[in-house]
Amino acid sequence: MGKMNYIENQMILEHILACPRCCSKLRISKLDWSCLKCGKEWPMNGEGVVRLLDSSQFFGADQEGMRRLLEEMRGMSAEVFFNDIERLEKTYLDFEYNYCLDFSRADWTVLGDFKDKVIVDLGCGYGTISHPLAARAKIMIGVDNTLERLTFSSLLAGFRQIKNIVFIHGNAFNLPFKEGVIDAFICVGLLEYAGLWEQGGRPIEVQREFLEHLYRHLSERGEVWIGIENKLNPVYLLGKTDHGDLPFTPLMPRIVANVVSCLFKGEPYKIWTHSQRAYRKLLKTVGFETVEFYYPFPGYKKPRIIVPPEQMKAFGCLLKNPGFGSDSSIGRKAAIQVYRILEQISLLGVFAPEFLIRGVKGS
Amino acid sequence: MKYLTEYAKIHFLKKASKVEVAIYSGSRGKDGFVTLFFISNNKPKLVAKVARTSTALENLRAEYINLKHVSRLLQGSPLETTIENPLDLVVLNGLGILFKEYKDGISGIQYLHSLFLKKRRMERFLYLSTDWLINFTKQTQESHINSPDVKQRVIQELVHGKALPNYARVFIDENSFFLAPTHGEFLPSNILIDQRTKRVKGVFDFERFRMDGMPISDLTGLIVTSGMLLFGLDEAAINSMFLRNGWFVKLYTNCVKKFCLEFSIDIHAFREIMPLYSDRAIELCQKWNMDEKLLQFHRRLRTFIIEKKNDIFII
Repeated sequence: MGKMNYIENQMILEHILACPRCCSKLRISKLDWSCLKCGKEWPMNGEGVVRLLDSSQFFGADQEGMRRLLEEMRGMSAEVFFNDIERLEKTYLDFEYNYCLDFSRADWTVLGDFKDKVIVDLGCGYGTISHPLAARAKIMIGVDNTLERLTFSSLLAGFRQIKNIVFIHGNAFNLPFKEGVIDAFICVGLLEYAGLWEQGGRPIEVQREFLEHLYRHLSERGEVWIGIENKLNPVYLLGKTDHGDLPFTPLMPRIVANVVSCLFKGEPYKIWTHSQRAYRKLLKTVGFETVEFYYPFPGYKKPRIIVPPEQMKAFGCLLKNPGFGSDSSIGRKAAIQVYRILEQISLLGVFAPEFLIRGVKGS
Repeated sequence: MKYLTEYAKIHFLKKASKVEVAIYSGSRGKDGFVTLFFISNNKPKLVAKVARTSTALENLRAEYINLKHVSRLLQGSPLETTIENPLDLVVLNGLGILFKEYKDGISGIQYLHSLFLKKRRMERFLYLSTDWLINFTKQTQESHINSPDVKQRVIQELVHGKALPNYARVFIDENSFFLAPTHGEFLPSNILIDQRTKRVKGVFDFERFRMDGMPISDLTGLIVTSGMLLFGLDEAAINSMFLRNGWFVKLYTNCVKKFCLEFSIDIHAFREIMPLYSDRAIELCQKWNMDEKLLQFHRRLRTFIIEKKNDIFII
């Protein structure tokens, strides 16, 4: 927990936290969280990250390098750190300005009303969304299963003097919240991985269960924001894929994709993405009354433009704006032309490469 | 998003039936902006800039004040319609937002990125933009400053109190050089071209506007950044831009000549003081943490301009 605003954060947290095992009230101290009923304790590490998980699971290329970076950061002032980014990028494989620090990754958040809300960023990683969003939130909670990323994010929050942020080393399926208390969940680049979290479960079922789990924690009119790929991305026709998938597998029937993946990768096909229609159905089945799609180009991770629903013809107008044409790669130009044609025949939404989806609880 | 559309509908788009917001994500690091387009009937009607951080909000405030100032300076002139009309600066749901009138057109970058007719488009673009700059500078003539003392103060700011280089002395001592209201970032990305009429439809992003700027710096910036789009940023680019590629050299020489003629500036003297542009570009690159490649380019360009000053214009 950002130590500076301990008391204010504690008051809010006491209202929203519950034991992930027995749902009872938690005691929050500067050193740990503990359940008042079952007595289970969860320690904090030196940077205030609450350890709900014992695992040392790492999502990245070089865990040892990341640990060395954290050690170096602990001895740095904010000024030294921000002046030394170039060297750090060269030294540490997983540290990259664009990936770890760039605020523009959170530009899409202007679409939502996050002022004074309790927001949980699931799979928050290095904090590129949670840090800028914290400026508007009542409290920002970052959850991730990679401790090194959370520790980095916590150190960085200190450098940036962000005080209303809390980090939890935890599992997105076992969240320590009461029901009906969270105003917004951010799931950017996360839902597609749900199939990997439960052995044996059919990925679509696990995704649905996960969304139901979030739905229960959401307050009335609470929102879930999902950034995810479109199964019908036209680029997949060229053999390109996301998430390390084999060529063309996203377009294949799941059963065929599974056989191909088992044959050539030695593992089942578990990272499922869907079409716009299927995502809408999934969210509606869970109970989200309002489901809106926004279309980020080239994608949700670092969108250059985001087109609103029902205004797809605006795509062509937006393309004329400064900066967009500065990317002169032939591939990008060809892709723009393809999307312009799709726009003309009103199919841009169906074949957009990726989606930002807003689901709202209640009518 | 409702908070944005509702505010826009109440204040600026009263007649619009349905308003949606599209996002254009600028790329100026953490202190940059997100641009919002308010769309109705599939057409943008209003534009807004959202500050990513509190520092960006300060820059947004500066832009709002600058735009108001520029609008007053150009009131009643033909250029008035080329400037964005600033509508309001507000904080909505914790976000600092500057609302501006929307201007249709194609950005200079897009215009110059055509697969064909590159040379012709570059010629047209540079001539049109130079004309706009000349008109702007003429229009603000009453605010021109020739005083050597003021010029010295401005240059001292640029060199951070270090000893003045010879080229800076030329700018201070030569009476034909003046300080004037300047855009500060007069680049292809900030210039909108009307494809139908082939005119400059708009000039925007006045964040770095100043009343005591150097118009020659705006002109040099326009030439160099347009050249970058053609020749790139690597070591060979500067040679290609200023020496090897005859047509581009002729083109920008004509632009500079035109500007010099309008303001009775000796083109030889203009050549002398060109490193001042590089000094300013380097300062901006460092201040705004811009791409390292760009910084290196400007450093190389500065050395080049000083060493090869006799070769960079066809006079």
